[in-house]
Amino acid sequence: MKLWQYIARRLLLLLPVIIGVTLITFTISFVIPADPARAWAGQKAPPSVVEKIRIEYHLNDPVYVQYYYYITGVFTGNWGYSHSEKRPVIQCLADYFPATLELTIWAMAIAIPTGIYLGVVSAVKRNKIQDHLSRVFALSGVSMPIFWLGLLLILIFYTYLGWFPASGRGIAPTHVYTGLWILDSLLSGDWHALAIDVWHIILPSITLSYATLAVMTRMTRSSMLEVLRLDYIKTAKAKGLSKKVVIYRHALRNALIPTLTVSGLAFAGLLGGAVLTETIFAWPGMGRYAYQAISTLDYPAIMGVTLLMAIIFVIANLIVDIMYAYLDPRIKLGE
Amino acid sequence: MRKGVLYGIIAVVVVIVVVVAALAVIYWAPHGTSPSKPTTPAIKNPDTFVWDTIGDPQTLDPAEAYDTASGVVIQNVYETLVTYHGSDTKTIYPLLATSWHVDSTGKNWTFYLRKGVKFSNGDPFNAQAVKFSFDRVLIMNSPQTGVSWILSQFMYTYNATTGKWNSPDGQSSVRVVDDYTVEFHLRKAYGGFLPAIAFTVASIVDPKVVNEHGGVQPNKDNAWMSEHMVGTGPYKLVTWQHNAYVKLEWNPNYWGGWSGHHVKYVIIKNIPEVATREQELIKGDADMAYIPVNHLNDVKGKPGVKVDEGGLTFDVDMIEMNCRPTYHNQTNPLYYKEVRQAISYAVDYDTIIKDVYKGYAIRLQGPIPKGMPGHDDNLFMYPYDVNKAKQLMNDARQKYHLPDTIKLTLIYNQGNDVRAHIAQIVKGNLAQIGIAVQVQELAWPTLLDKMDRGDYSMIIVGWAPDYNDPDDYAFPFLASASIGGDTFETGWHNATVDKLLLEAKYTVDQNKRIQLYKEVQQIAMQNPPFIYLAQDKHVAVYRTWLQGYFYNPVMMLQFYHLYKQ
Repeated sequence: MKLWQYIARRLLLLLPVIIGVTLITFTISFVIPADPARAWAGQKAPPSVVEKIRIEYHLNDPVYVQYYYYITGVFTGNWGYSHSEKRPVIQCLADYFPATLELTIWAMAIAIPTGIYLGVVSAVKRNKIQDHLSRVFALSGVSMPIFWLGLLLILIFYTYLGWFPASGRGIAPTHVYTGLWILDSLLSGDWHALAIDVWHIILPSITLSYATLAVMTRMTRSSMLEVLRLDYIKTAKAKGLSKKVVIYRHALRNALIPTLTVSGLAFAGLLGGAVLTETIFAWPGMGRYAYQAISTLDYPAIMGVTLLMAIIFVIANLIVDIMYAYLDPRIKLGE
Repeated sequence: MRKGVLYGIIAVVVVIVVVVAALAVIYWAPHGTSPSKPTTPAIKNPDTFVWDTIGDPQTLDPAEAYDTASGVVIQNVYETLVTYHGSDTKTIYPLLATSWHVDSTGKNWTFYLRKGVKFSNGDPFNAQAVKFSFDRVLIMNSPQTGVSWILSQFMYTYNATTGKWNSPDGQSSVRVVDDYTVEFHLRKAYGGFLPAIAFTVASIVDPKVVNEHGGVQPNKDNAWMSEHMVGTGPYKLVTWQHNAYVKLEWNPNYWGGWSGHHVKYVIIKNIPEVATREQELIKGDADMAYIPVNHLNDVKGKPGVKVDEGGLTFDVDMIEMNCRPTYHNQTNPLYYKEVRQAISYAVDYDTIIKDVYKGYAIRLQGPIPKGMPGHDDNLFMYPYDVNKAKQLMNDARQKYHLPDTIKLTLIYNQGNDVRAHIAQIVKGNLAQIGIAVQVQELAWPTLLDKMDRGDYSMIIVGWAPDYNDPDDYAFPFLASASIGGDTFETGWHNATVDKLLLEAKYTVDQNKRIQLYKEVQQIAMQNPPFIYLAQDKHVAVYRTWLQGYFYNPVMMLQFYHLYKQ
């Protein structure tokens, strides 16, 4: 099967995924004993307004009728109206998703190379001081609450050292093309915004990356240890190849498969799980929007975030699968 | 292997040393051991006021907005005909109107408008703009928030089907007399008319701008107006980054002028985490920060930080009781006033004020808060008297054949630490009089649903003012559902109270109204549907360099009066 056929087939699978995810989320939302119209209108709104909302959004209809309205809307580009924000869900996602995506890209850009490097060093220097330091570092990353780490970084790098700001995303560049402000600053040549935005993203991206970095380190270490024991590594060493070539060209490439799986899922996970980092650093992202939507029972927003996340998970897994084939030529796509 | 263990120990020791060193830096630095760090930095951004707070505006359209975060922005960009000055809640002052008079019926008002006022885009303000703005609120009829109810209480409403106003002559309540005179012909003489039109819903918008961007459509909001603002107020909107910040800058066309001291730029940041707000305030990057009372000790005594404990808010907390005869097909003990009286005696109010509110509240004396017209300083308040409560409960048990142990639920909204604490104290209090309370923490939408269906025993609730009038408190609390009250769905109704409340609502003679509210409160206190807990004190936390700050419980923060020095 050719690559494009494989990608097309996987993307077609998005359709049942969308229907499945929306169906499950929709059903779960309706199990909650609450009156969304009252929650959307607010406690002080007169009953007539609450009733008008019920009628306008078909809340008096059976669940399957409401689902029909929703799913037909999704396929025609209408993802509903976000009542907690009083504007369409699509507009909210267009604002918040790029903010979280940018943060996640930076977090992954820190986590992947650092995690892999520490994992390799840890495996190669097994039971040496470097190994222990990197394991303690990884263990603390896995066990340290992200909330606590964020506050600690603010205290040290904002309050006492004054190196980085504590909150916000910086300033919007002169032209916003993608919503990724740092990229947009580069594209529009707005160097002032670029400097400010990079300055703002450093602490939150370190905070968000730490747990993933720790998992990467542990994963790379264990798979490297496994690979380093294999015969072909001994052969490579016997051939007289340099240590660097043996480790980075022969061992690491094979050891990366499990790390890659984790990184794909971690990327999608971070996109949806950045709520704590976004809260501490007042980062206007999708995690906070999702939290707000849940606490106000903003169904359309909950559905929108869930749907977007499902699509991202599918795409992230697809990219990981394609990467497998690149890293290990024995793996054939679609077989 | 032994070498490995040794390295392991060394690694752990290194990590511990690093952490201890970091903590040491953190511990010592605030005490000023580092001479390079000034503890009171120079004034940062002298012409910009930075406010770290919580909440994002829901909409910037005054015809739709009904939340505090929106109100703050609206009240600094748009203006109303009348307003309040400083901390004074007693007197209503001119704003876009310079004077007004009312006829003897209380239904016909004439407003004389300020001349020479321009919108921030240079368009002139006049009587047409006033008519347009009020008519717009009633035609739009705020489909998402219902805020137009404030005006439709006393103004003629709009019939979207016929396209006509529901008035005898088919015209709206607002009539233009000339460019600077406008008349209001009200559907009903409303006692709280002037306070109501000081609320943001009565802000004056630019008709030209609205008509260029979607116009006015019946029962539909205007998406453009939700995101853009053109007002006559001192500031204009620069940026609204949703969930991040709102930036305002000075309006050079402002009729009030810019002589004297004023901040020219305002940044309102939405920062959900209190620790982050605290750090920015302490560093001087924020000029003011919202700090909840249980965190005040974190900032008290910090160099350059002022904790201003001035004034009372009109924010109140109560426990509502379900007064319906039955609950879940069984006799509802709370139906009997003696049981509700006993509960009112059994609650340890002082402990709640001291331990939960940390002293930043006073006892709420009835439904109308202290400082608002109609509040009665002599109104009876239930003392904490367990013996009296026990006696009342025993009498009620015998009289109404109630069980020895009465089981009740007490609900509060998820994540509200103050109410969680109150619930535990009340649970302990009521156990003393043979009432077993089951405390339930519910998500806000679920709580509202239970309230709406009357499916509860007791709920801890709160209320904040829309405008400065007792009708905004007494009516939703005590009027029965049949006349449009009972917002909390207590099921409590009293024909005399309904009659008095309606009379007070539609009476213009303020002295007479105060007498009527006094009567209402006395009746309601003897047969209480609520346990009146607390009226919050106001606490503002800001940098000592911030000048011109004042608090008014019925107004939003007025940036125009602020400056840094």
